[in-house]
Amino acid sequence: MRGRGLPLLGLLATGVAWAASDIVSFVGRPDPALLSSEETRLWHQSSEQDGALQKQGSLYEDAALDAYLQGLCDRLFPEFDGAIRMRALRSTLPNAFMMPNGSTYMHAGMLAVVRNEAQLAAIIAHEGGHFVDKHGLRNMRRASKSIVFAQLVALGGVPLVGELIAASSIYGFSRELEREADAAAVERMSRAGYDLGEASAPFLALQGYYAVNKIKEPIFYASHPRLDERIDYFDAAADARGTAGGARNDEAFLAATAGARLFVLEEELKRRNHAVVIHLLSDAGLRATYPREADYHLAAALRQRNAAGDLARAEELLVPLSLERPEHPETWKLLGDLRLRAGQGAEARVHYLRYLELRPDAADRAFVERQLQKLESGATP
Amino acid sequence: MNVPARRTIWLLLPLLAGLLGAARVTQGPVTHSKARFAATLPVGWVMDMRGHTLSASRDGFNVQIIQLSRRDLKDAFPAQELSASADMDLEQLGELFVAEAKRQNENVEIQSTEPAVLGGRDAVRAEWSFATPNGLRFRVIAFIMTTPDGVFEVWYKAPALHYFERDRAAFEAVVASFKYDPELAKSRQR
Repeated sequence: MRGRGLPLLGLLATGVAWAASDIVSFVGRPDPALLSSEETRLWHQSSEQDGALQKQGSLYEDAALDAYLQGLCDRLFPEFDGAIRMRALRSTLPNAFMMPNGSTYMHAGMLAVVRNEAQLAAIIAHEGGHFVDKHGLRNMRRASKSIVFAQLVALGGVPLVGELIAASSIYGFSRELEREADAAAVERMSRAGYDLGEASAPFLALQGYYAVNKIKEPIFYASHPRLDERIDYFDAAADARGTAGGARNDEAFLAATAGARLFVLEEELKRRNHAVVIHLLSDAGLRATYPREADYHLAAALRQRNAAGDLARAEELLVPLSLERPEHPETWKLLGDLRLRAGQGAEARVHYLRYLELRPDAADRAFVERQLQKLESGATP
Repeated sequence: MNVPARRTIWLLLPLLAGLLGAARVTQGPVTHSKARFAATLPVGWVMDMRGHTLSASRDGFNVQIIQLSRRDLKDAFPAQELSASADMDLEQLGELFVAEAKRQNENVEIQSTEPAVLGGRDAVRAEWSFATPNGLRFRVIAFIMTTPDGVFEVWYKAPALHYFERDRAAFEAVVASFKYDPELAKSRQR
């Protein structure tokens, strides 16, 4: 079998080289009328996928955030004049992907692990590089020789069908194409004046995320080439080109992404993924980039985990937060829960009432009212 | 389609339904002795009983579905790999229930979780919705309760458009009729 397989591999390799040789990169805003029939078909499928993501409610609807991401992308790819279109997705998985028609999606989960605009620029420049050099088409031609596209895959709530599995970057491309996109990212970041020293940080953050989630062989953004190799590549590029004077734009990034980052924490808590929330917010550097209310999310995650000392630590976080952000409803609810657990019913009652006053339409209102009734009747909850 | 072909399809449908373990619901409660519960399902709907699950639908199981099921306490929340206990705090049960739904479908939007009663016992009632890639929005009402015999769930899923409100009363009647019967478990053990 092995002996017969080798010539076949050779033929496939020749076929790939031939198939890729007639693919010419974009040099500016593409004219859809000039696309090949193969590309037109891919663009059409991509547009359908754009529609499906919208209909399914997968988009993170925040016009200001989308405008910020688009502005960043346009700064990196000025000659494309908006042809690479950025949207944020609700998915909490740290990922980003592009489709052959230029639609590029940034998962909210990716915004939660990066710390400034330069790091985000590294991701967008990388994805844009896939689009410019038509990696989707190249990968699809290669993959079409070896796999059948009859399956549907869903990653982070993003369902992809048929050729788009290979032609979008959601699962990453081959080692060669990912390296090309990394090289393009370095070039684009450098030209746009971003701090190249930040480019490796998102990949370091992903390493930590995978460790917490016990993902042994990451399927996206990490496997081709391996993360540590990519980190070394970006660091070497930063050393070679220098980072002096490069922009990080911390404040603009934090202002535009604060809502989406808190959304990720809330969604992870709803799924009881407390390990992810604790991992993110236990990193002092990353914690400093989150809004003050994130102390509530860390406290809620500690309560979910409920290991030795977690409840005491949660209370330590909540008490000062309740003083500094008295208008944050969930802080009062959680503080009430902790007080109740500690046998301080009177205190718990006050906190629960404050919570319902601030959040009259709370999804868990009936539970809180039930607890209040028990407290008022003197029953032990 | 010509008349003979249409007639053949109508003749084959009940046969196919029978082969798949489905049957029309008639008057009276349906007892699932293996799963230790009984409930009165909407008359005329198609029902399907397999394993520890009883399902019923009027227009097709992919359209609207009422489903009743039992799982062992140790298998209560498979997506979280967590077990449940018979005397679990209701709010905690609700939190785990919702987390399970969100882990199975990231696009689930939770509308409410609240204490409820199912078969005369304390339970949790939750409502959520989600949309499919073609934009069809489904609404779900689900109940969960724990007993020494396991975790019981009763839920209803239907498209938000037209079906959900139309068949909601039928579901509420099923909920009102639901009865967990530990005696069924005992009779099986004997």
